[in-house]
Amino acid sequence: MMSLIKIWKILRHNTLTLLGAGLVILIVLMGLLSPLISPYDPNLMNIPARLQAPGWSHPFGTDEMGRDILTRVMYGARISITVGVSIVVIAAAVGCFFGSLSGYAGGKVDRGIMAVTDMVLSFPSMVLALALTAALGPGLFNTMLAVCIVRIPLYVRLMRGQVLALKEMQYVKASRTFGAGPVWVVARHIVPNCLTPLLVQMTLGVGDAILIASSMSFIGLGAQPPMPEWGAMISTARTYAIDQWWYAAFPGLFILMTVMGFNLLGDGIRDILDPRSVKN
Amino acid sequence: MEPILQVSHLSVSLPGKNGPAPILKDISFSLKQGEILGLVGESGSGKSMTAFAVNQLLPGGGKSITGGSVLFAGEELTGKTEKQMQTFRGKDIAMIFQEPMTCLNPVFTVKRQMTDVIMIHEKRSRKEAEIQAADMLKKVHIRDPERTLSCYPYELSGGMRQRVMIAIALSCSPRLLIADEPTTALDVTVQAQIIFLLQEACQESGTGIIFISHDLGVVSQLCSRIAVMYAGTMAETGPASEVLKAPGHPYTKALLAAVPRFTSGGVRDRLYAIPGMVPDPSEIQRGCLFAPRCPHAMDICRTEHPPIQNLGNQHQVSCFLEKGVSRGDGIS
Amino acid sequence: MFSFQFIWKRLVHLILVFLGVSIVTFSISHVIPGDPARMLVGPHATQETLEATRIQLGLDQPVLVQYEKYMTDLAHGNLGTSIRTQRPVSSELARSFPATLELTLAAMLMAIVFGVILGVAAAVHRDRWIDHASRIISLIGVSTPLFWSGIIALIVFYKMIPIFPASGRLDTFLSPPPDITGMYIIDGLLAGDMDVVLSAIHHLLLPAFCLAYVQMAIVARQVRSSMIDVLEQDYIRTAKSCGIPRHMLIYRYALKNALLPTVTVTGLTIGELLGGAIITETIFAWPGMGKYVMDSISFLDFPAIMGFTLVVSFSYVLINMAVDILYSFLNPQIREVDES
Repeated sequence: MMSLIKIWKILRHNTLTLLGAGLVILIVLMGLLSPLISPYDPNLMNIPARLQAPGWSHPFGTDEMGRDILTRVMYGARISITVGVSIVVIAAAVGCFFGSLSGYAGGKVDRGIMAVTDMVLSFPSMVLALALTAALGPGLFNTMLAVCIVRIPLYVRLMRGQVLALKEMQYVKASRTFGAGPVWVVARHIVPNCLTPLLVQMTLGVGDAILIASSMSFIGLGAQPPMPEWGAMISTARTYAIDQWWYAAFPGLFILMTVMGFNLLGDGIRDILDPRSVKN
Repeated sequence: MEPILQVSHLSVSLPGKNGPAPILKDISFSLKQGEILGLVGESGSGKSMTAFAVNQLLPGGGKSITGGSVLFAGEELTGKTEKQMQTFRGKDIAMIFQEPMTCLNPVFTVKRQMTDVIMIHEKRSRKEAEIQAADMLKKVHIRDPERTLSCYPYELSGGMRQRVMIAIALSCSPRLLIADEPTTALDVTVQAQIIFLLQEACQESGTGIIFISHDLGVVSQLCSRIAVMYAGTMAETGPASEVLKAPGHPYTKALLAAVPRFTSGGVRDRLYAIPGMVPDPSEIQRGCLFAPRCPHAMDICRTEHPPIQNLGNQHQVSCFLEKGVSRGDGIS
Repeated sequence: MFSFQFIWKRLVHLILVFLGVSIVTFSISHVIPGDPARMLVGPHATQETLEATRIQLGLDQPVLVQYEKYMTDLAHGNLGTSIRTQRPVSSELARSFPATLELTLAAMLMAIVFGVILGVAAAVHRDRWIDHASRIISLIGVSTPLFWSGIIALIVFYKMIPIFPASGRLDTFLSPPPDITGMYIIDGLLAGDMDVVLSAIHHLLLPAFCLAYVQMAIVARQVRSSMIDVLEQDYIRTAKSCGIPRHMLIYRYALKNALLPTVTVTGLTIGELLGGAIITETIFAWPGMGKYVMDSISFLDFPAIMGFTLVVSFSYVLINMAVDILYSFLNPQIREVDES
């Protein structure tokens, strides 16, 4: 295990990773502390102050109901981070289970799992998520479920590949000859070796999940107004966006910053934990 | 006769861990038309770098050359632009490399790779170039040139690929051919055929060849002159027969001792290995670079750079030992 | 060039994938919803219609029978009736398909052309300003929500610097060209009507670029890394030692090798473009399938959504097969392995 000092030394020479980590921490803190630091109530309407341009009382302006956009953006961070992280954690857990099962068991089980995986992957991800959410019924929870299903194959494949490669390693074979059961082998040998690619994939996955989930909200299938979800805010903003630029601009800017933060962090983790990939 | 290639006092530096590291130091040698020069030394001695420096193909470009000159047929090559060099490369100066498996472009047919070179340098039409390409393949003893031309590299064996490489290299009748370990990756039987091809090219069209190898056995069969390199310096140059029979430099002597020899009694009692390692070029060295490994090293060897001694008959050696090691007491 | 076996293998594979896709769409429309018939007729349908649909779908029968009915309908091109417009979904999608095709093809072209140029430039000038610029462009590309960049593009290029139109495929005073392919640029060219062609291009540029941007970023990263890889290969050194001029070395000898891994990325790119078209078409009021499905979503027009899903997925599968064949064209080694 790398010591914290060593990680800090590597990070210091890797400005972009640090920037990514900083962005992620900033957004997470903003979401956590939003009830304390936000200047208004996210759902407080103030019709006389509707569609005001950014100014001293409303740094990001107000929307068509006179709600403070800065406040709503802060609360939106809670939703987006929660959505992104839960999608990835659930998809990774389910995917890893089926992936290691597929790789370990082989044969019919493997073929069955891979057939389902291939089926899901033969759809454009956005389109499948859309159809699934429509069938489940619009809403944030169903969107998360749909995006989760669409992203599971990624982890199935990742895990299966790792397991197949590791299964052939001498030390794993040796451990099996001593009578170690599959659960033991997976937990003791395979999981620790998969952690790096899994962690990288999951970090990048959070950004991706936030993007696709907010797109679903924009389409109207995900979070429903008046929930201060960034995609849903921009969806409503569409009518006003051309003349009131701030309405769409700020929520989108925060999606961009969040996703970029996770992307930079994911790339950074890869560079730090997997020295082979640093070259390019 | 005027030499086709005259390299004098050539020095090359490449960027290393601690700033630029000298890779070649004061290299001088020359090559006449129709002559085959064997360039030998351990890996890391700078043989390939010398070849790249002649062709101006060094990783850092022309900037890497820090001194000296490379005269090709009386023309100075150092300082030439990439564009000017393009007219020499492939036409006057051709190269073949060690790894025939990876040296041909995998997505083009042999025909495409041969005709491109011919069309660029000889200003021929595609049709003429194709005929010439087939002729060249015949010259390197490929039985079915038409079929080979339409092949992709992965369809050919290693020996065939090296023949194709030689055919490409010879297709514009170059005056200088640099062969960088062309036989190392090949089977012994194929090796002999490739060496025969090079000999033929040299005799028929008077091409001068620099044959780079770490295999003294092959070099002794093929070359009329030998240059021995050590850690980026020229240890010894001279006629092949003299260098092999009466090596002037302790390093040459040690290299010869390290060649496995087969006698009627089987393998010679014990293989001789040169103790120590080739020095790291990024570390600053004083004196003779071979001194730390040399059984004859004297105090002066560790402080001064050895002078170049003439042993007569164009046999030169860079050593303090009077008249070279074989005239004194050698390793026996 | 291609053996019978090669084509046969691809065909079998194609049919299997189509089957897989249909199983998934069948499950989504018949298994997931609590009451599939209610989903398909909408909340305002009469009890009789609901019952008739139940019987027509065979909901009282086993799943396999339902699937058989589903497939029979598909084979006849019957995608159901739109709740919103009460017209066959298939004809509505057929009407809006060419617009989407035109948009995604243009976006794909832009993504590949700009992506390759950017990637090659970054690889050739590695660690110089152009490489850093391309890295920043890519990072922004993969992190930007499509619906946001579209709106920002409108604010900048329609409101602030009015050089592009905000909506539609043609200026309103022009009438569409005679319908041959349904793609206005091509139809306009065929009809020799340059006004239409120019206007169509003018309307297409901004939405296509917004849609292409993310994929361009991905293509550029891919090309950069494979180009760097290829430029260090022995055969490039060989070509250099043969006096092959630099431009030929980069754009022919190296690029063809570097494009091989890029081609496989292109398949995925198209899927993302088709999904992104929903958003881009909505923002730019582009009358394609994406806008059609978006309009359907607000009515929860389930047959329209499922019809769209099917058509897009089938197109995606077909395009991927085309990419696959193209790949084997470019890579002689794969062709050999596949045929044997």
